[in-house]
Amino acid sequence: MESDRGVLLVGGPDMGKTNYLARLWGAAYKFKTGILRADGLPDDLEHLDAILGSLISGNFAERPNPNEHWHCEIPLKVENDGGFRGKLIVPDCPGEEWQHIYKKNEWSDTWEDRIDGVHGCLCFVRPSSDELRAPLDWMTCWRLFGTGNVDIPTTEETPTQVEMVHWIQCLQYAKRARKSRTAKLRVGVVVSAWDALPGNVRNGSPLQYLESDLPLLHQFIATNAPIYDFATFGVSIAGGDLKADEDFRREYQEGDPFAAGYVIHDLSGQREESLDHTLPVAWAMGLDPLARARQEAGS
Amino acid sequence: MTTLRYVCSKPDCTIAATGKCLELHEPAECPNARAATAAPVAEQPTSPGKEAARVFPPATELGLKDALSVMQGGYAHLIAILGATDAGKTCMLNAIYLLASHAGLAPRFRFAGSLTLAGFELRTRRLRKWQNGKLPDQLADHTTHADPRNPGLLHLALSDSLGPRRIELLLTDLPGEWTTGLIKQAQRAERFEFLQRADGVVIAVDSKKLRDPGQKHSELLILEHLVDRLADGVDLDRRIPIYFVACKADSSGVDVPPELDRVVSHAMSKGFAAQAVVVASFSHNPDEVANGYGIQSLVEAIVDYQPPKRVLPVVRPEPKRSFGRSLGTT
Repeated sequence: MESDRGVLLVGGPDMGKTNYLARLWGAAYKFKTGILRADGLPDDLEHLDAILGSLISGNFAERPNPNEHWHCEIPLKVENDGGFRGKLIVPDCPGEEWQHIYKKNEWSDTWEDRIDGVHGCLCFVRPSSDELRAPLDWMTCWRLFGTGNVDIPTTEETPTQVEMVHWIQCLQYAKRARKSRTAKLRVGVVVSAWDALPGNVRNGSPLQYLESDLPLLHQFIATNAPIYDFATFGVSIAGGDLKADEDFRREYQEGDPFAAGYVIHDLSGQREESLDHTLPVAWAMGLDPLARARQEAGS
Repeated sequence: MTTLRYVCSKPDCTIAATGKCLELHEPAECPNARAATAAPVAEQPTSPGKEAARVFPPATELGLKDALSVMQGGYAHLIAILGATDAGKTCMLNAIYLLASHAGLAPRFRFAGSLTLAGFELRTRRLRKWQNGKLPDQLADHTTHADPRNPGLLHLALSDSLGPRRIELLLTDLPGEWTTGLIKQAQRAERFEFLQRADGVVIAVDSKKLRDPGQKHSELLILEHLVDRLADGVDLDRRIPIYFVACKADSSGVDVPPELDRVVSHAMSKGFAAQAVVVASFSHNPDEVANGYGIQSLVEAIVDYQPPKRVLPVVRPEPKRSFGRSLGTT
């Protein structure tokens, strides 16, 4: 019997975690066609229902209070498998906490208390967000180093991919420190708002996007297979832009909002599109989602 | 927090980086310098709070013992980078990191991790500087989060497709004053004891000075003195290779300066394995000399180095039986 496989939902501010959480909750509780289903109600339902309500009404979910942070654990199970259970854990901290860990090189009980139960994590990046900080490039460095007569450099925040690699290393360090033997950590990188990418990028795979735009993270993924299990996902929770595209929004509202959106993955070795928003969480829990899907289709 | 800083119209002046005027003026009195409006200093990693549940190893630089312990038994290449102030040491470190992080060392090498990501990121933004005043005397065994820049180690893991294998690099970040101090005073050799653990010594050389008739002879003398100090003062293990790296090749040419070959020969005469490499960490004219020129060759030379095998003397045992005597020939 496998139970309580925890998956952490992490990432900086405005990276798409809240909207994915809303979509995931709707898929697990209401839509019920994915691998994972809700295994009862979470203790704190207020915020989850608020963000889901926003999404199914045709609006991207906003964090109820940007300065407020709330803890959430969604119990999940595999349908027709009485033994497999897990939970999606949304740590009780704002997205800025992610940057705090990098700057302070420490973390609080919020993270430490959950390490033992963590089987995997989903790390979010949203390409269209202003909060996604690009890697430092040669041109900027030449400006800083190319001549002694330099202007004072503007304050530049650390690139998002650097914080993400640092956090993954911290998580692995902490898990090893607490248990000398531990299953390989599953790290899923989720590229959210996939539909907002240019067509040539959107038609490729999430890994190809990372290779092009986040090369440090891409290389880290490619070279650390002995230490971690990695997978990359592209997620669109609505299938289009609910904010800027009024025609699309109307079409979305008139259709079934629980059936909207898609997940891009390459778990089979090839780029595939799935309607199952629970798939990334299922993978991070240690499941083989494709095998499960075949099993359910056959039953 | 804002800081009054200066910029100088002279291209070689490093007042913006070090606070020291090339012509030894007080910054406020130098006719070439002007105060610049400083942006707030970027946030740097700070001391952990008292209520932190877990504190991770420092990410700005590692002390020697910190580095050895976090390697957890895996082999790491310790590379010492020496050279005078402004020879190009920090630029070289930054170029290695930038190339690795941008897949610029591919296809052979790919970034596989770093325990000092914050250290590299701050250095590439010129935000991790030596503090004015007295510099530490020793390579730190341990560093704490909020230390000012300490002589320490930067960590970079690379995946080598030729192998395949994982290479852990520990790169020293030392002030230029240490190198010049060693040349001036033999007793400074004791702070370089850690070199006996090194897998290679990189000596950064300002190639512009080697090409300048008015400076090259002094520069060569300084380099030869440094080799002598390493050989006699530090008594550096002769199996540790020395790489003389001519920096700033974008300005002075991509060929190894002939003068540097003389220094290589001098090092060899002292029993060292030595070679010269040319790099341009940051290029003023990237259309002709690319940013990071020569860095990949340097990394390859370091990781591919095989020390010469020891040749054991042949010992011929005394014969127990003399066939010559039994045959009556002796």
